[in-house]
Amino acid sequence: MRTTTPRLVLLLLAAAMTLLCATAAAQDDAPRKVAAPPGVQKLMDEARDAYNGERYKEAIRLYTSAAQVDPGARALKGTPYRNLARCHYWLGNYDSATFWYDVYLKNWPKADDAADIQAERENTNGRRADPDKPVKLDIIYDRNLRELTEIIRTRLKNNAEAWTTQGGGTASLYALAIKRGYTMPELSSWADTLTGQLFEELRVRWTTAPNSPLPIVGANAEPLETSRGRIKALSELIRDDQRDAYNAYNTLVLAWQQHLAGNHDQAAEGFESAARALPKLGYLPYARALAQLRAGDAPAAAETLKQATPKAPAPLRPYYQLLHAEALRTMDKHTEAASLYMQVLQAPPPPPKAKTIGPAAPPADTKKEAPKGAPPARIEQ
Amino acid sequence: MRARPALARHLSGWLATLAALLLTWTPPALAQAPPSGEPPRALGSEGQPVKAGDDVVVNSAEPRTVVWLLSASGLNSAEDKALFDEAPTMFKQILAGSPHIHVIAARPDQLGAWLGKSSQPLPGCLQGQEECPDPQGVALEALGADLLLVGQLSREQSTWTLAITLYGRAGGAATRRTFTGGGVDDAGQPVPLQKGLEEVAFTAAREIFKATGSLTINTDPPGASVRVDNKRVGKSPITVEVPVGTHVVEANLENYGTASTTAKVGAGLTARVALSLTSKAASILVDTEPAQGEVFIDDKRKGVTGESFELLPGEYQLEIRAEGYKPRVMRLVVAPNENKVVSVSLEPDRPQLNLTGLGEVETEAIMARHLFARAGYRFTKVVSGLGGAEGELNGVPVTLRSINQESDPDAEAIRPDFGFHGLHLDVGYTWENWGIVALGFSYFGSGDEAEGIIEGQEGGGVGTRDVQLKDFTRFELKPAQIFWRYPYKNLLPSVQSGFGYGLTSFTAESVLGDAKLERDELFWHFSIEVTYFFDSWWYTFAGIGLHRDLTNDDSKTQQLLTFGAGLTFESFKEIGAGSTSDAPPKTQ
Repeated sequence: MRTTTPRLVLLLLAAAMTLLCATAAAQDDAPRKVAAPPGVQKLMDEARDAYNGERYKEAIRLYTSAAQVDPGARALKGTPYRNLARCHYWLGNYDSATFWYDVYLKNWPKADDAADIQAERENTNGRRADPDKPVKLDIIYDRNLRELTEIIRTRLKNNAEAWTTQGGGTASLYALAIKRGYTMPELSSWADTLTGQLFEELRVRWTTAPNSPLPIVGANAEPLETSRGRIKALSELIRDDQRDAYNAYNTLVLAWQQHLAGNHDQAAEGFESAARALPKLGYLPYARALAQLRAGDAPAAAETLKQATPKAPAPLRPYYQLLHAEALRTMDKHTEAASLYMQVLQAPPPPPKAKTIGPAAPPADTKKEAPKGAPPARIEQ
Repeated sequence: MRARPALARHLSGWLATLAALLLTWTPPALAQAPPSGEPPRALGSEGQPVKAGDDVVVNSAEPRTVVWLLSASGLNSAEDKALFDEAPTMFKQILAGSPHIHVIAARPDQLGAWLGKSSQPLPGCLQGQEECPDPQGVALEALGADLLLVGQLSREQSTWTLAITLYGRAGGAATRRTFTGGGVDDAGQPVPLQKGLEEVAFTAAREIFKATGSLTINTDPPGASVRVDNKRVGKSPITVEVPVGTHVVEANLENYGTASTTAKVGAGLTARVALSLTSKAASILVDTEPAQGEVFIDDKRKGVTGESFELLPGEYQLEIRAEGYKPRVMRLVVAPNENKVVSVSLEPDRPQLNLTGLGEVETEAIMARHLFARAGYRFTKVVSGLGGAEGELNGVPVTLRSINQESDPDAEAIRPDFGFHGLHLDVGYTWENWGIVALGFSYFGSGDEAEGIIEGQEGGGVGTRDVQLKDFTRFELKPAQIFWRYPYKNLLPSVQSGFGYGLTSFTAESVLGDAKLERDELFWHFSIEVTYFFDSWWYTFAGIGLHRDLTNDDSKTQQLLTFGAGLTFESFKEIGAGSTSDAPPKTQ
């Protein structure tokens, strides 16, 4: 009996834990206030099945992925971390289990199951070799990954470029950390910050330069590929509420891509679409007219400029007139062109050089929630 | 935009210009309000000469294409409009010597035409290839121009005002400049409108483009009239402002002729021109006899006779004055660089008579003329019996026996007076005081009648008959009459003497018919005459004289009264030329 009772107790406990695990898995199916990113629910389902099938290592991989797809498991309310702890428990990795229990309890202290999980944590901690010794990150991530994450933190803190012309930047380091399995909850704020930075970098890149009717796209300007990289990086980070802004910039970049490739008809259409999505970007009608003019459709360009000039931002209006004059010259309407040139030449000089011309940031409400200019970190679904 | 290394290259030059202008320029237009209709511009310090846009222009030798738009304000008269149309040409002419400055349009309505002719690629900055300097600069690039001048021309009385706004392609604020010209001259008279407008155009070209320089012109000797590009600018030494380029400088000084050269004037520089004028004077020596006198040219004392002096080519009045001698005045024609000797004989100062008011004549001139011819009326009183006059009556020789002697045919014929009137002609030659009448000819007629007796040849059947004598004519021929004359001023009394031949003819009317009778004679002639010369070549004369018949006893001394007029000639050649002009004495 003396030997049976403990075994029975262990069996009962195991059964109980299994039930708890199952219950926890069942809770993943419960309705959530915040929608998880696309695909994350599938990952959670697969992880739950692996857990229930006692394929704990597979479950750990899947929960890790889930906490990466939903950076920091914000939408999943920390569930991947709790279940990571349980998986490690059953694998006998009590240090790791305790670590993840602590992550969960620290970040979601008011979770519904906080008391139960606290009990599990105490139980697990008691099984450690040295229960009084704090569990450090070292046992989860190796040194290289820890150094990588430290670099990311520093870059984010210093507002370093999210995407550089060379293709690197904080976003690349973030992707590398993900690839190497980093899954701490700070991924959530990292993603928020990076998303904001990428949008900001796109915004700055595609805002008119000072003393120019357009963003500079000459040989010395930032190559279009850089923007393509940002768009791609954003596609990995954005949430649903940022989808429209993402699509708008994606359209804009595509339009420029067509324009620079000499596909002026497509570029004109792209600029027209971008102008609808980004109405505050005052140069887009100009860009459309330029594409029309380059496509050989001077009358269309002239008409576009005729319609858009009165609504153009004041600093850009002379450029609209100049391009209009160019279109009229192409149409051999020299006298009308001369009149426009004269208007420009005799117009009052522009105010002191403005640094930017156009909208300040993609979604205005996003800016309010993200002090650093990043899109909203979270929106109720 | 195209790269502009030249802009940087000239930056130091502009800065130097900027500093120089800031130090030296007095803003004339600060107090002038911009003309109405000008768009307001935030110009900073309006009217300041140097601005970003201005720097591009000033002192730059880079090729500059300038669009000049000129509009008129308040120019309504036809003259104003014509001058307004001419203004661009003036401006272009001034800039013609600055080939790097190309003015491509002049008025707004011409800008469209310019656009039609020019073709400029779409500026890169309008395609986002690079930043734009500013819209104005882009507009200039699109126009293919480096500088735009927007000018407005107006006139207030005789003062022109040209308000110009400069736009440079390099951007920066536009610069406003106002230029004026015309107004009133130093005498307070309004400057002609065209000249005033030229002043404005010139000033604008100078101030905006530095397209002018200076020409300092010196001549040796100074005081020459200077022309630059065929336009009189003043007297040397002189410094004038001219457009940049090559100019023709011409200096002309009376007595020295003309010298010219070309001078190239650079922007803001002074070209110096020195012209040496060569004297065209001739050397004149007036030689007088018998005395030395003073020489006057055009009533200004030039020197004394016997000493040479210089005279420029031309025509002068030469006058020699010597005390006690008549002044000699003559025309003097001087050729360039000739050496001329004028020999003049002086006459003692004997005032001439001018009895007729026709003028005076030099005695010398009278005495210098040798040939003469004269004609006159002569009255002669003949007291003669005409005895022995012969003729024929009806083929029978008859002789006049007596006049009015019926009873005694042998009695001495009485000698009635006959008054003959007729024409007298002389031709001759003079040597100073002496002369000879080579041939004198007289022909007279008389209306007197007398009664006489003729006697026919014996056996002729006529016998002695009373006749009525009438139709008297007389012919005299006097060769080689010697005369002596003495001139008193232009009055020449003279005495003349010599021998002559006379032939008297008359008709004896009788009952048997008319007989033509003649009697000839040799006579001695003496006369005293006075000749008054109106001029050296024509004169009048009057004289009295007598003839003494040397062959007939029944004639008494014949009395003469002669007056008439004559001509003198210097030589036969002059007669042949038919000239009787009062040519001046030969002076050389």
